[in-house]
Amino acid sequence: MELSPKHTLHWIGVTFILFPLLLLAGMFMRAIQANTLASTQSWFYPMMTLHGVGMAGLWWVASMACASRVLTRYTKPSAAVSTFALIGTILGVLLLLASVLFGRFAAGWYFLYPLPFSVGWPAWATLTFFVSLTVLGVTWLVWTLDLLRAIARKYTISQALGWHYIRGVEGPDVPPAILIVTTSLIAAVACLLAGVAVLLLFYYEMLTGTRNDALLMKNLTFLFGHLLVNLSLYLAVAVVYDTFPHYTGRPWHTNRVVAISWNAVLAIVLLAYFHHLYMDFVQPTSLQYVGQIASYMSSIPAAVVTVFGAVTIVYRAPVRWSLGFTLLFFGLMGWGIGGLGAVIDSTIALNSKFHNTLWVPAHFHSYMIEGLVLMVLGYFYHYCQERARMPESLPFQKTIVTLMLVGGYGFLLMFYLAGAQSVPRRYAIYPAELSHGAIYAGIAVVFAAVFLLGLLFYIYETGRNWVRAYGA
Amino acid sequence: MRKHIWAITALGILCAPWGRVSADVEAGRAAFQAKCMACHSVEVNGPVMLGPNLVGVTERRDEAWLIRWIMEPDRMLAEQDPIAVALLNQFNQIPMPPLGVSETEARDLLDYLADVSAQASATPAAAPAAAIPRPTGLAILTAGLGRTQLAGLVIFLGLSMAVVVAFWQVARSTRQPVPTIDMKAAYRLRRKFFIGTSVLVLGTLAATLPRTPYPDDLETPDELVYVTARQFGFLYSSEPITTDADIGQVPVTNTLEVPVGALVEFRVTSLDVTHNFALYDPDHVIVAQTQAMPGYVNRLRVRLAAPGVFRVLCLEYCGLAHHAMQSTLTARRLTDE
Amino acid sequence: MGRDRRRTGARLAWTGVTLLSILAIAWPASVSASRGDEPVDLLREESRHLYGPVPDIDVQLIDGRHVRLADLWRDTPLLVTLFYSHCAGTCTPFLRSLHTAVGQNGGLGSEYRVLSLSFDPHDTLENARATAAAVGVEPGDAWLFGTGTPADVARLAEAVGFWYEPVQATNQFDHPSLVAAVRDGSVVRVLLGTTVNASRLKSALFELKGVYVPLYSRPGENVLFRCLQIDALTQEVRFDWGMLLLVVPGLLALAIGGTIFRTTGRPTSREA
Repeated sequence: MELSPKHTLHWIGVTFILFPLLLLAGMFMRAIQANTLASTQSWFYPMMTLHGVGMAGLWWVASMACASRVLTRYTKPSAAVSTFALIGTILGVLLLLASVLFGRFAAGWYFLYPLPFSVGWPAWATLTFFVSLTVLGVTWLVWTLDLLRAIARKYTISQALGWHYIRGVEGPDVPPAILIVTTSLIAAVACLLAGVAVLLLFYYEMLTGTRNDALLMKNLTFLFGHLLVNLSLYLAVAVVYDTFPHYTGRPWHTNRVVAISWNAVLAIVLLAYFHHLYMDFVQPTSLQYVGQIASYMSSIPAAVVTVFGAVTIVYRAPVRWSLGFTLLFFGLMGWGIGGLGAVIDSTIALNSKFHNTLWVPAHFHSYMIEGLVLMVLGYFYHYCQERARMPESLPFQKTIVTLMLVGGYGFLLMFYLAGAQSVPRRYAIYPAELSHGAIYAGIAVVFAAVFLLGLLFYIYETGRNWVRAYGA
Repeated sequence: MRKHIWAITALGILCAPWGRVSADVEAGRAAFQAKCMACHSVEVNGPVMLGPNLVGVTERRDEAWLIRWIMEPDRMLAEQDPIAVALLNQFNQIPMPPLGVSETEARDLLDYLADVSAQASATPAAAPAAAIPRPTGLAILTAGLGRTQLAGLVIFLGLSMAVVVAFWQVARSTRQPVPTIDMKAAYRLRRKFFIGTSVLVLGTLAATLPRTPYPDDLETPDELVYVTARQFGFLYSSEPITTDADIGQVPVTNTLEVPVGALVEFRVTSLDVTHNFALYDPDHVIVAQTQAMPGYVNRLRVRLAAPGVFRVLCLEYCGLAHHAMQSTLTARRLTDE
Repeated sequence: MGRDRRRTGARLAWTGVTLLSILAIAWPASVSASRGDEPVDLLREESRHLYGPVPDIDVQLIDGRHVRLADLWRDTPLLVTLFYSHCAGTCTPFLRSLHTAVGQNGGLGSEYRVLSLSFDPHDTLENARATAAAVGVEPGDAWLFGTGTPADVARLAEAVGFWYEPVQATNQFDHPSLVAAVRDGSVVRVLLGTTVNASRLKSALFELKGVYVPLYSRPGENVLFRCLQIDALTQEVRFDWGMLLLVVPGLLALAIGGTIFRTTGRPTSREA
């Protein structure tokens, strides 16, 4: 059975429900940090866990949904697997909600070993959380493998990875989206396997009491966590590659440089996660160097090839700045800005001052809310509008984008300033000497509300198309 | 110099050196250090940590109530004991956990607390520590902003502005569309862009990679401090602590003083989950940090150039009272004694 | 098509080899950067004096020369032991075990020196010479025997955590046995015990060279896979299975990806 429009529309619907709710959970955290809502302060860390796992997972499935849809232009992803992934994801989310809302599980989204075994929440909440992650991990692994299978039905591995471009020999035209999605999916298999390995080690300890090595668990956890977020972005970038030509009327071909850089990304992306362990001085120093070098190197294909390529596609092109294209365009910009923040933090010499301050959420929120989120929402609008063709009011759409940009960047700036001013991340209450953190948190809530307003307008605008497309 | 550091910290050591100490008091001290010290201090004007400062607690509360509270705080909270609920509200909803204390142990603890409180009232009270000033007005914009942090922020904002300007220009260019652009020129530009980016990346790598915070093994520190993190506090000692059982056996303290100008090596580890040991200077700027991981010892070397009170915070999320896990370290000139 | 697949397989293999070689380059470098001893090996009394300064005292060697300690530790790290010549207990056996342990660790060379100093105020150079002969140490520059003024020796003893108490009844001293490793005038390691065993000495020698291994296991605690492991005999740190586990997801992903592409049938192998 072919992937029908409804499959994609379901994923869009899930996103439209979960994103505002998880965004409210984030605003709730910033509000607590601003010393308001004092009576609910004990919910800060459970909400932090929900917001973190929820957002990382949501944007992963949203990117996967976009990538699946794009793949249908070239090959046939399985509809059954998409439905299976949707059911598995919803089941996983329900388990997660049970663990956090009823069990107050609060070990954070990367559940750093051995914190999940800590006192503070019941053992069943920990178990439910791990079962939730297992359901999600296995579901997503099946989904990933199916998309790879779909690509393999049309291309050999050397074609899909564009090796004939690199060698300069004749071969079929491979769209850049295929190249990027293939690279990302192979890395995603590694990512999900690392996640499965962490979960197995946790289960083994639960069953036998055999302890685990904290350094090993941290390495595996970040191999999983870092890759999941990073690959969500790459999948969204693939979608941008595929959708831009539709608006600019200029083709975006794979060529030698594009092929080389995305093959390089496959190697680099597996090694960059070491930058999460810079402050673990026992980690062998050579791996720390590998972390910084890989993090720096990953900026070259991103900046030189993708962003520059996008610029050549858009520069002086006859573009109609509708909501879909505008969001995709600014999504690339946010990705670039978040990348800059990330590269600064991935410098070992600076990491001593920035590690686990608000600089960290600053940079990853940059490439999430002003990068990945805008790209995915841009594509969602593009897809719904393409199917329903409701009339567009460009001034209204401009207002939506303006609200999302002003709200988003204002919100992010508060993170960056507080991070540079030594305010720690993940603090429910700031100590007196760092009370400037509370002031930034308060301003951030206002900006987040502006972003939320823009988002609600966006959901209205896209929702109109969604309803008609769904009814068709 | 080494004697000096521990002579000073002896002030903060909870083991009272005065007079004859009974066996119960001694047992109570060991139990206190092993089970209570992470969250409570018993020093006059000592810090209020996760839970209340326990100086004089044996006079404030009824003995039977205290013993039951020490043994089964969870049940008392479940029964909505009024004092227990009031304490829970006063201390940020962080409940006192049941720690498996036996009745004998609880009585020893009370003996110890009574003993310490009696001595505290006999000693003239030191001036209370000045309240930490909160930044206000324009100071909010510079609080905690170190030189490195400022450099990072300026570089980031500068490069980001460049990205924004570039995207803005591209967006504006679409007002005057052309059917095709000269791709050869674009590729030439990309080549320059590639070379520029590569030079920048490689240059920054070459400049920054040699500057790591990791200890140089051929440099010998002047002082050695063992730091043991646990939920939710830091213990300092002159000897390594790798198990809970070690805590009662070595002199430990919640607060630490180190000589100014000395290269101090902190050997940082954890007894439970992963924590972090981050030093904030008197201007509230992060000076240095390292993770505290169970099973491993991270060596952090720091030279504190100026005297003052340094805050120690945990910068790795470690549980429900993570934000309250903090401690104080004072850098003092040798002549201050 | 068959050729295509074989090529694909070969390329996959190369990708794996590349990944492995990146890690292979990373690992040995880090192993050499971090080896030494295990902190849990430190007895409490051994850690008290770490990094404390050692006084620069004047020592008279058995060949009559006077040297200052600073001249000894300036160019080469130093192992310091204290003894008295008419010890009826552990002094000579302890020095002999040190001699054996030194032999098991490559013997005396240019990497470090040993200084054995008498703490008995009545010991003469002749007495010290006799002890050297009893231990079996060849007179030379690598293992020095000597005496110092009582006040100087007392300062040195205090700095390394050594103490001695005359016992009138037996005309003997009550004292511990220890080796202190001194680098640039600071104590970097103390080994206590009635004998010196080869592996503990080896760890002290690593510390003398400035390497330290920061991992410990708690008593009675099993750990499934470790990242790093210490060789009990050589005290060297090496990567354990845990670190290999970090490469497994990447390699497995390449293998799975390759298999999917190899086994999935394509309607046409090429599209123009």
